[in-house]
Amino acid sequence: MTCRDFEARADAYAEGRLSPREAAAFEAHLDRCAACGAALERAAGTPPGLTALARSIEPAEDLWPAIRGRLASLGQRPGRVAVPRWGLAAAALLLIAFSSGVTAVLLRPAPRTASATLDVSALEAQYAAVSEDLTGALEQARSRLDPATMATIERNLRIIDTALNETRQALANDPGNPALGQMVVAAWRQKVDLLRRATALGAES
Amino acid sequence: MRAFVLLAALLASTPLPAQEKVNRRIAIASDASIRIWNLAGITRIIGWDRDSIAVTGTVPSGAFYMGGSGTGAKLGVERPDGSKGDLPATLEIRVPRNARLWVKSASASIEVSGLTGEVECSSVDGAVRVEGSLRLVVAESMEGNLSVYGPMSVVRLKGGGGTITLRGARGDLMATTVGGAILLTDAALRRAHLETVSGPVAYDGTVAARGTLEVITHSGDVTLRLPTEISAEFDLSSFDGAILYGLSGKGKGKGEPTPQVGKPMSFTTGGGDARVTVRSFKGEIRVLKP
Amino acid sequence: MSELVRRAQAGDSDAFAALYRTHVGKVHALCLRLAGDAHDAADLTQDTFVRAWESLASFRGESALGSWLHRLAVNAFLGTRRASGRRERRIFAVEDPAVLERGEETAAPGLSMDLEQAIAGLPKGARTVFVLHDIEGYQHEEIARMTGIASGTSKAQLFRARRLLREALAR
Repeated sequence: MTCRDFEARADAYAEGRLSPREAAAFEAHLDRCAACGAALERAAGTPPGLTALARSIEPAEDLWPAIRGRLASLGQRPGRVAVPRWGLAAAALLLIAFSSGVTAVLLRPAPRTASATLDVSALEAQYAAVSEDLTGALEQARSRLDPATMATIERNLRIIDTALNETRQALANDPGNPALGQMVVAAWRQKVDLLRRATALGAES
Repeated sequence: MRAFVLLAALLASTPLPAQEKVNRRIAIASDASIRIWNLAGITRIIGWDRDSIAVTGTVPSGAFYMGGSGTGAKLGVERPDGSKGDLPATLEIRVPRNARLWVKSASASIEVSGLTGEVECSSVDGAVRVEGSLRLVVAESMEGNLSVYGPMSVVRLKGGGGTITLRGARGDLMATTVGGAILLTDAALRRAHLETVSGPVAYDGTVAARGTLEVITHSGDVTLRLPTEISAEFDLSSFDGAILYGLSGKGKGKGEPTPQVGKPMSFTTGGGDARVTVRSFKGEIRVLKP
Repeated sequence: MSELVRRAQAGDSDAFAALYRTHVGKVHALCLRLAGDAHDAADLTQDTFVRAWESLASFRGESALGSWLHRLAVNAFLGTRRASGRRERRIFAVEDPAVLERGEETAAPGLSMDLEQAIAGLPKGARTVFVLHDIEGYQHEEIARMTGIASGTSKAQLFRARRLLREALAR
């Protein structure tokens, strides 16, 4: 695109009337041409009243309770989760911290194409590593936990493991099925969450 | 003589603590942060309009402690020598309505009423029951039931085998169990996220305009009873379970499909204001009239 | 670094609550202008503070806490934007609510909108660049790095935003 063409298309670009190809060419021209960039600046400067915009706008309702609720499930110390001093794989810490983001992705409509938004095998590997660490930690805590509590924990874990095996089996028979991938990740997340709660109980005992 | 020796031996090996009555009070700020520790028995917390904490009840001798002033206080029951072990105690604790509470239990049941502030309860298998209209309720119990009655702003519940029950829920809710059921009646939530592994989910009520209701389960059956005129985008999928849709009425949107078994259903009723998403592996999904 | 921040880093949630109260207005203003919707802005503000709690340990005080929070908000917004499939709802404060039913693309003629609403009415790409450049003060190269667009695109989008705003305000 020449500078002349560029100038002629500026209005159309601003109003969204260019085709995607023309719009891309218009944008690419700006990467190369400082003169046209300067011309655009002159043509449309910052709108009046910008400095008068409120710097601070309080939300309509107090968001703190909701934030506090989310922090409660993350753990007491910033950047860390409520697990005992036994070590965790570094990736695991990030994983648990971002699990709220994974929930959000889980509930998107399952994509219709093969390229799922979730990389299931990568997530599985991470969850499995965390799960192994936490299971080891729980074993070490066994003697400190009440036997009835331990039985409760193990019962809940068996329910989750059954669900995990079923979804993984279904995914193995239908690989690339995005809805199944989502369910596998959901089961892993539930397992890690339960293990985290259980090891926290062990730490308190 | 022998009986005496036996009796002495018995008393020496199983020291049963005597009980004593508690009646204590301290002044505290109206939005104070209060930590309560009672592992076994009953912990009953009632909000009142005074800037003080008043505790009555029955505790093992020498096991009760309470301290603090201004913006923070701690109270509870533990063995005088600091050793572990649950000593049952019944505590009735009056606190300022706007206080922020953190309550710890193992098997003790926790009951909270009359508060408007925040409460966070942690239990192993004790039941938790919260009633009223709080800004924030967070409760966790591996096995105990969690019950929340009234319109709270934000609720976060984590169960295991116990049942989670809510009545009159409004605002923002996240509830998860493993095998326990999640039951809601008279619900009109702005945001609800319900998750179980094998526990059933029953939601009776509606979803606020522009609100979201999300349910994830592996094998629990999901029953939603919603108004026939609800305006929502529905996205229902059960990999190996039936989906039964029985809402029909005025709010006809982009067509309500006939019920399918095992196939996902996505459709809109009315203007599609709210969003209802259900994901199940093999549980049945039913969307029914109230 | 302030005492409050140090205490919050040590896990004091009351200190973090105080930091929240101090900064929420500015963070929310940014979120509102980026998201263009009050509902999404509230979610984004929450996400920002949760992320702040999660990564507070890494805040070393080289910049002011407010700037650091702003950066987190922008990253949170760009993250959700990539994953989002939701429809946008624009903010229009109108006397006649029926206006909202006429469709989101065209503003009702005859209404003069103030700048805040005009910004909310911008197309998403233009609005993002406008808020980042003209309100938050980022340069095009930085915006390009953060958003994954070319810097030429950033300049073009800014031009579009300013043009559309001028027209909206002139009505």
